Amino acid sequence: MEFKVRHGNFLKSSNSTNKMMKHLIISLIPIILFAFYKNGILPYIHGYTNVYQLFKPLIMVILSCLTCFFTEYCFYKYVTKDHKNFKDLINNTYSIIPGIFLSLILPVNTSLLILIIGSVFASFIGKLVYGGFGHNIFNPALVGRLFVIASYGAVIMSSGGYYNIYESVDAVTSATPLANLSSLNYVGSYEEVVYPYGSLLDLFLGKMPGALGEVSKLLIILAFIYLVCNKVLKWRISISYLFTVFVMSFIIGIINGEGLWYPTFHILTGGLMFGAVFMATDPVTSPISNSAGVVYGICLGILTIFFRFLTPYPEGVLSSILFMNLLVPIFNNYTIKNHNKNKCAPLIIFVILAILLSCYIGFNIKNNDNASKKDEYLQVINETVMGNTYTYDIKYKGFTSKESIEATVTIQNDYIIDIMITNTLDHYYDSHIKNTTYIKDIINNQNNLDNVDTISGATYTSSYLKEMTKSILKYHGDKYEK
Amino acid sequence: MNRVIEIGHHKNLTINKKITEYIKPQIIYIPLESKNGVEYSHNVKEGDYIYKGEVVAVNKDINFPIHSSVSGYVVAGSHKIINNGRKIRCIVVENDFKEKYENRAGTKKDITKYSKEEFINLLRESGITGLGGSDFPAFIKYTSCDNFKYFIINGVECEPFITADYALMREYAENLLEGIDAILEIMNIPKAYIAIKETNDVIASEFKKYIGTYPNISLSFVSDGYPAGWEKNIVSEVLNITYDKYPSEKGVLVSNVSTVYAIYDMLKNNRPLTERVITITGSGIKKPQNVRVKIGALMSEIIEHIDGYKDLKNPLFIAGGPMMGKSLPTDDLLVTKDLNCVIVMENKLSYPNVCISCGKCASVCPVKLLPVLIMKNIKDDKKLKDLDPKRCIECGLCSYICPSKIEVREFVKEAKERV
Repeated sequence: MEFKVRHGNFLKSSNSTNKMMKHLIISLIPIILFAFYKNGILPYIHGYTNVYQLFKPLIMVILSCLTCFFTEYCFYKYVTKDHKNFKDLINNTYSIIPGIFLSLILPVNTSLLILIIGSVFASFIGKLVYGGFGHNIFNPALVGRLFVIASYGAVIMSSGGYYNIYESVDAVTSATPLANLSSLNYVGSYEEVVYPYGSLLDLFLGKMPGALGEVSKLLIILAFIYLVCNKVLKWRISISYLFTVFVMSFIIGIINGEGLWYPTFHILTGGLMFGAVFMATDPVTSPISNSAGVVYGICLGILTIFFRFLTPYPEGVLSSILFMNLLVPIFNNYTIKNHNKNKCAPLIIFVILAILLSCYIGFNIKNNDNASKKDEYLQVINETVMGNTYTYDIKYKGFTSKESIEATVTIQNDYIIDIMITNTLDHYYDSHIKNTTYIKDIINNQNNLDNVDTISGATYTSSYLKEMTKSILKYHGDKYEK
Repeated sequence: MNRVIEIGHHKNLTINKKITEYIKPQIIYIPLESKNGVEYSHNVKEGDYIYKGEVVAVNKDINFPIHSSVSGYVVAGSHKIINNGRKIRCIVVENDFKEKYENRAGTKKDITKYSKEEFINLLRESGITGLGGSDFPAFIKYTSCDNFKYFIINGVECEPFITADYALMREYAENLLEGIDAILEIMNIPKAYIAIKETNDVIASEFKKYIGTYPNISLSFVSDGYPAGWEKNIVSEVLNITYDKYPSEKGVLVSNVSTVYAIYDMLKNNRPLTERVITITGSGIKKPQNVRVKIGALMSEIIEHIDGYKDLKNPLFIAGGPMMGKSLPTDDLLVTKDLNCVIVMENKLSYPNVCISCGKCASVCPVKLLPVLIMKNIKDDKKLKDLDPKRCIECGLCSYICPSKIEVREFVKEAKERV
């Protein structure tokens, strides 16, 4: 009797790439639904948006999947013309995965056109030019996002940035928590750093501004557990990455007298958790051996902290992962050379490096931290003196930027008689303050400003106005009082 | 301790089956080369009448014989496939079904009454090899160390589907113990351990019935998984001893259960090795079972005798277990001493996809190789040297675990040859 011949072994595990990708998608479903709830349903039921915007989060995910799929489809059909097993090819390139990820790491205010361009870029430049699935050097979704942010970042920011409409109404600041931290020179009290966004619990549950899929740390952790249980993830990378960031920001915090909330804040903000769980662990673009994975995670952590504290661009997760993707061959080559020796030299080197860097950052930001920061917000553009009446044209820090409040203050006999807001980018001024007696209250209580309550809904703008009044009085006093 | 991986047993088809017999093949074939490439030169010619147990061919380097397992006339030689897939020239003996021995040697009452030299010589003369699959002459192994300290009987049989050793242990526990005791006595080894899987309750209770009378023999359980039956794993689990190449370095002697049974049979009846138990199983076999067969018999004949095949669309014929066995184009396979299993199953395995560098193969490899990197650098001899593929034991776990269904082991094997 004749038989088929097959090389290899004849018992295969039930695990397959297909299953791994299915698990990945399943783990992302709650995250997508939460994005839909937070950016679609919540604004809608509060009456801020129309039906299109209600479904925008879902539309984004689906559209970017479709775009990625068609990019690959067209590429294989018309460019490479690899018609042999075309169906298998399409089934086995998992083209929608970068699409899902890309849509989840962009804010809801990304316009659909930008998203489509980004998806094509992610699929084509991120994946296909390297030879397709399994051959890419960089994480395709991150390549796509890098492209989108670099080319259209300003467009996205001007259409609302990371805040959805519902959030921006209630918000006290327009900055993301990290941008806020960076504007505080990286250290500040819990009230300054976390309070504008609610609490650490809010950050954990996802009640914070951010990209579609990045906000709910709870769901990301659940997804992580699910994926680890199904043996999909290189979990060592995630853990060592998060742990490194935690320890480093802990050291930085300790040096500057911050509590345990400070490293926790660092773990919970930005794209860190999402990046550590889904992006850094992408099997194709991460080192192969487990021990190399741990070192890889530590390097990612060091880089992220580096980007957060030492560059003006605080969202360092994306850059760290892309940069480390580039170094994966070095990790693998090192593994090849040393795989049967028990070498922990690299581990020790990078742990020491992490500690040194965090000490350096810790002491450095402490030096920068000066008490007279608030006075620096005051810029006197012009002053005119008419007898004992002094008129100052000034700029002061507001909600949107360092000089977003412009005002003319008139002082007579060392007493403010008028504050006129000439121009401001803070739209809460127009909506919440302009038509109230707030400015009058400030003038009436100028020697006892703590009695004036800030206006809820525009807490930050109103408190900046108070600070502004204090500062100009001090400025005037220093200059003219005997 | 080494890592073992849960891969499922797949033994249900034959695990409760009694050993059946088919020892009346029409013709037997004696291959003149073993699967390891050892050549034998024949000392019979066409037309000779040979008795059962008569030496037909001999490996002249070590004076190691192969015997005829039947009596009858030598007819013209032909080529048949053995379990490494190669066609080998064979001596062909037509069975006259008389089972005639040249001289009658009665059964021994006390099988411990051998000197060590007699025993070693007998091992050689009887053609005992490692029946677990190594096909390595036992007499060399048993002389590889002057004073063995431990004797481990490998009854783990970790490869899925195979139940030949299991059946042997269940039915011949008492004889096995007797054989082990005799080996301890003759070889002057103080202690023996029977290594079985911790989940093998049936076998454990079978041994426990008789083990009380043998104070030097104890049962030892190893973890249930693959490759738990790998010599290095057993020695490290049972004795917590690690060694470099062979267990004899540390005074440990390891033999398979079926080898020990063959030795028992040899001591008891003073006959050369002519039969063994194999498992014939898989979804393509009508009546899967453990069969005692003549060495040299043709597999197609045996399968026909046990009611043959089921109709399968794309049947595979596998000599050996599903992990380390080899797929053959025909069922004209000879039973050799190291063949323990034949599987006939549907070829419904999916075809390989792209490697996603998940590193699972590296995490399951029992010798801690990096199969994926070996595969990716298969053309780079310098890197291959660093990757040290020679340590591969070809267990096939990398191919098993691969989510992209890549036959990773074949790459490692290729690398092994290149280095």
